[in-house]
Amino acid sequence: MITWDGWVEINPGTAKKLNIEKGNVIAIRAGTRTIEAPAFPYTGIPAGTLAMPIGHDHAWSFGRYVENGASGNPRDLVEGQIDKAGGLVLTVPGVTIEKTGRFVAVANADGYAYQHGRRIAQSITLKDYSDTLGEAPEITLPLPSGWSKERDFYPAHEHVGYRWGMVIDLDRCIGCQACVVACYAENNVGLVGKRNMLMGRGMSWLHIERYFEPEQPFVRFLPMLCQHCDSAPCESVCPVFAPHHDPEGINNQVYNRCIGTRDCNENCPWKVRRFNWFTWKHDHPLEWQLNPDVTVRQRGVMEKCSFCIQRVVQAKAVATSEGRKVRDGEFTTACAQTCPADVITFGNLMDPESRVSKLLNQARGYQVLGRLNTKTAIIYLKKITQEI
Amino acid sequence: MKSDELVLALFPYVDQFLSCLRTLKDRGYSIARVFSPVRLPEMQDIVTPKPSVTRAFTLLGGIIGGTGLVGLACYAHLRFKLIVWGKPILPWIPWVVVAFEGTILFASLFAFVSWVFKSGLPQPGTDAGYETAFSGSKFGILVSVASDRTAEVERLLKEEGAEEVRIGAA
Amino acid sequence: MPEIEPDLDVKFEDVDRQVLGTLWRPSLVFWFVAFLLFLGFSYGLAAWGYLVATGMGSTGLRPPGVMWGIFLGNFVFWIGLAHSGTLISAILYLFRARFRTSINRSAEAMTMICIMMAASYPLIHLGRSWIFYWLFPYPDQRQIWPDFISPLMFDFLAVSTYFTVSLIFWYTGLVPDLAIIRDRTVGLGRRIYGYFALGWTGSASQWHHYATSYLLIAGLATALVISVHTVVSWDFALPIQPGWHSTIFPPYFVAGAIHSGLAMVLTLLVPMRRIFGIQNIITNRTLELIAETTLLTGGILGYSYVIEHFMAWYSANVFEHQTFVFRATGYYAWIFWLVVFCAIICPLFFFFRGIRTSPIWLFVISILINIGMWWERFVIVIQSLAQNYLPYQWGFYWPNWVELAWTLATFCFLLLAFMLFAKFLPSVPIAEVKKEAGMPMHKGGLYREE
Repeated sequence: MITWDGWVEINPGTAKKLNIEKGNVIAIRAGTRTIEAPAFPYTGIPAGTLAMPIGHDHAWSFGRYVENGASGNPRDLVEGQIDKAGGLVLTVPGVTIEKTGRFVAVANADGYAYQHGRRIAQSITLKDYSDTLGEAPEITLPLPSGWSKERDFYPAHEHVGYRWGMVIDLDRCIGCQACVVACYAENNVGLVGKRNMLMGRGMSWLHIERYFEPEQPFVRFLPMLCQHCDSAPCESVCPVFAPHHDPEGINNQVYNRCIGTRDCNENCPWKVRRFNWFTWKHDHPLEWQLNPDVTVRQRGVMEKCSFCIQRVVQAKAVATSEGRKVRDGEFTTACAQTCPADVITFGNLMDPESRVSKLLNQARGYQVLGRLNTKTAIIYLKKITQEI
Repeated sequence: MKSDELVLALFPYVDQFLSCLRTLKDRGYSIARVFSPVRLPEMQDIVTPKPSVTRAFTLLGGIIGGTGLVGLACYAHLRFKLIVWGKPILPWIPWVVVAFEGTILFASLFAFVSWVFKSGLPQPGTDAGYETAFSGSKFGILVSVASDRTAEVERLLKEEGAEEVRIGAA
Repeated sequence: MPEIEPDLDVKFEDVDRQVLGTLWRPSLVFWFVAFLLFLGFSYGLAAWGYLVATGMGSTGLRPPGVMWGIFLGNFVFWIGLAHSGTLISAILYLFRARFRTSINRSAEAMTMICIMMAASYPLIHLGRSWIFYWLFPYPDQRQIWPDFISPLMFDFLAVSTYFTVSLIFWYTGLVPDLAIIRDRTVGLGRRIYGYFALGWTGSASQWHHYATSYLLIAGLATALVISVHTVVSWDFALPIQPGWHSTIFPPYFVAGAIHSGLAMVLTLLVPMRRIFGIQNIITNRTLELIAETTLLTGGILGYSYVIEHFMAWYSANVFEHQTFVFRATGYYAWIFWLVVFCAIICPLFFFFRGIRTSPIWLFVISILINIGMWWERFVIVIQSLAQNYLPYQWGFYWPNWVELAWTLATFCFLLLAFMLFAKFLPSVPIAEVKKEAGMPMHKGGLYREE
């Protein structure tokens, strides 16, 4: 995930042959027209191909925030001819590239794209999927039913009324990151600027991780957010009770109690917690976009996905005023609401009739790092792959 | 008129000092104070045979500290009854650490306070009969004796090896 | 069996004069060096002020993995250094090891300075350090208390207990010496030292209560030597990160602490005794015995490394296994090998008698050991975080000027405070050395208690 710049994706093998490294600005020439962009070697591109999103070259539109005008818009490579339907001819007969010798530090948020056999973003072949169709998933639910005397030292704790959870279907995820944007908008998540992004300080509560397997040519997208574990390792290492477990299963973060030891993140195996390194600015008029139901955090406090607790509270208030419980599907989190592919389903795990309870009950279900026995409330459904 | 006099003897050699102490004790003289630049177990056996009460204070401090800190921790956790890491509200395992630290801390504080106060410290000046040589290399015995027996005591002390004997009013 | 005699070469009557002769009237060189150290310390303070004013982002910390950097590595390092001082004062006292007598005062002073510096790190690394007092269990209007289950809370209790007990122990040991100084000065010095000497006269009843409490506090401090760094190690062993979540951490950390602490004792004492000319009190034999102890602790440390790597492989746990492979081959591999050389291999030179009896070699190797131990803390804290469970989160962290400035400041403060201590307080426990030197007897020979 690249921020704050344009880029052109290039296959790593091709890049190596041409002696191009990440950040080298290359000039792309088609006929007489040239654009420039920093190179980004990416495994998902076949050899000999370049990929670049249309719509870059922000220098003329977002002047204030363009860190450097290095990236051109591929639209500028077209000759300008009109086709028979009256639209722009968007093909060019082939491009050449050469290094310009300039360098731009590309602020990408990802670390390392291979799983090293850690089985984090899992897949299942179509054949295995069909074979195991009726079986129960191998998960430890964050409910009293998930507790077992052999595995757990302390007894289970009860939830009151609801136990919020999510199902994320990796087969449907296309990595568009609409959910990430929705989360930023809903929760007043701060923008950190390019220099901080280069140091990995992005504040995204929900981010899409990409993993490749060496033999498989496709990417696995893994939406990663706070897993709201039943026995959350982040909670007890805080010396001031800033994170704790609420009676409905959400792992709360109390912003005004946090003194910023950052120990909670040290204990989180998924490293989904974010820290406010500075007080992020909301330049005018972006402060009008802020959600009034959610606080804006000061520097020095930790934050993370809260399952849109403001929406939970509001839904419960409405339901209570009508003297009933919250119905399944009555509200949902911002990310689930926005996803165009119906990847994220949010609901009450204690209700056997809810969509989440039904969806998680298939053999494809698993928990990321489930072996750590923290009983996460996010159940992932394995990506289905097939050989054609 | 009989009144008690304090006779101070300074000793340069430790063996004579110790044998003199034993002699004075055997003959029933009333030893007001004994000074030494170092701690001598033999001297302690003669002069202060009973074990010090600071041991009891230290134990008391340890018990107060251990139970007190665990009590505070339990009280703290019962205020909001927050669940952290899936543990019960009052897990006993962390209390082991809390009790341990509380015990050590308060035992040490009580030990320090009790030795200072039991020794009569802090005092503005120094004890009667104190000479600065006693923090150097000389040992001292201060005998409290009736004023008509001072000569006798002085002779005894000189025999036992006292380098210098001073007689001062009580 | 070789004698474990410290070979003190000083007479009972001369101890006062020789030790007190090292005090006061510092030379111009002393003040110049102290000024430079003070400048270094001030630079660190300025960096701290800048950090609080702008935010934790001024450090080089690289999330999402590495949110703890060298501030925490330094914390562990400084607390570790403190332990050997108490080992020398308290544990060796209980064992009646006589070579401890001449060095325990300066070792304890080093402990206290190290604990103070260690305590600065949790403070500086807090995101909102101005509300650090929420860690104290005080009754407030909101009725919310700190979390006593948290390993950071254990840390807070353990370090504050350790500082209090060390202070009590050190001060208790100082009282008779302050009385000695009081008796040999006049004027303002006499009043100040006299005030802190509490009116001590060395009477038998005073020694009686004093000695009982000293023994009890030594016993309590002994318990702390093992437990405080154990509690600090639980900051890492309780979290479930690969490379951290292991039961070997308590003994491994305690051994490492004593290892680095003994090396720091050597680093401080070798020049100090040279400058003060007290080689007859802090003898070569004493230093040699300290060096031999580092062989033991270095051995335990080496064994711990081997066991950690072995268990990581044997466990077949992909995360644990890979973390240890990355330790030797990943982002910080050169640091790992530096640590192995400096902290494990260098002390092995002490097997040679010529090296362990030569003050120059002792000084050089002790500095190498501490370099190794500082980087070892770096590897422990940061490497597990930099290459954590999810490879997408991996990132390379390197400290920046703010973090390095405060690190420099703490080292400057250690040297500065130790220099001031050595000049204004007796760096050798006079009363204890007198006893060790043996009192003259009328019938000839020296009296030593059995």
